[in-house]
Amino acid sequence: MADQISKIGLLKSSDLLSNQGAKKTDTGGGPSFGDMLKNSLADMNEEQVNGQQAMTDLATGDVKDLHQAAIAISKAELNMKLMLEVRNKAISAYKEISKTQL
Amino acid sequence: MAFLNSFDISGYGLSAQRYRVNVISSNIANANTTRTDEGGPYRRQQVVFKAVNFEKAYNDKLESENNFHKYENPLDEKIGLNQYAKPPIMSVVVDKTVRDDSKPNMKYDPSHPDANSDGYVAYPNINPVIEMADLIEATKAYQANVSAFQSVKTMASSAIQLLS
Repeated sequence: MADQISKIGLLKSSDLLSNQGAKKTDTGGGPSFGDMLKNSLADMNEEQVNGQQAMTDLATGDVKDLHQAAIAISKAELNMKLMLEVRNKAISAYKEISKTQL
Repeated sequence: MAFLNSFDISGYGLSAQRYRVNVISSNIANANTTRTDEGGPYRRQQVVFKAVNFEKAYNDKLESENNFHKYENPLDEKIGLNQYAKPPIMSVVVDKTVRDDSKPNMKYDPSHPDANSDGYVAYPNINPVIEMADLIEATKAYQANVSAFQSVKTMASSAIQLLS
């Protein structure tokens, strides 16, 4: 499952955002929204993989401190929640724009 | 991610307290041990904690951007501490496990194999009552860290709910 999540990260960064990145207008200096999204997705993916690893360690008995696993999983959970909220926002913004009368 | 740093503070605290519980358990388990590898009875172990600047970059940034760490109580100026409480955000690690070298408890028991020529056996310098009190303290400290962790988690969840 960790591998599948990793693949999601790759898919996002390579396929979807590269197209948008080429068309983006330069807003002066700072990182583009696409880059920010890409970075935060990569961060989230890392936390997910960490959480997955923690669960694997729990199951196989490799974990030394139970609370470290709990912390890794909590981090993954919160990052996932944040990602979902940002996605919902982005999609609602897109829908809002697509409803614009031409 | 930066907003989850507070988790690590509690994480270090939890690890440190768990280590302390292990050491206290070791003391309780060996309360009657008369033989060790180093010779003589088991000796009581104690844990020494140390504050650790676990996130130097963040602390440096706080320090360079703000002046709110300057200490301003005029009554306490002369105790010789630095005027700045820095670095401000610290976590805790186990610095050392030290051995309590106070005298062993001598009990008269001539039939014991480890009795000396006078018939006294050196038992560990462990008072189970003290160890149990320490154990309760360590457990409560662990629970306090869990509470801090849960508060941070609730705060982060609430902040995320602001988006929806």
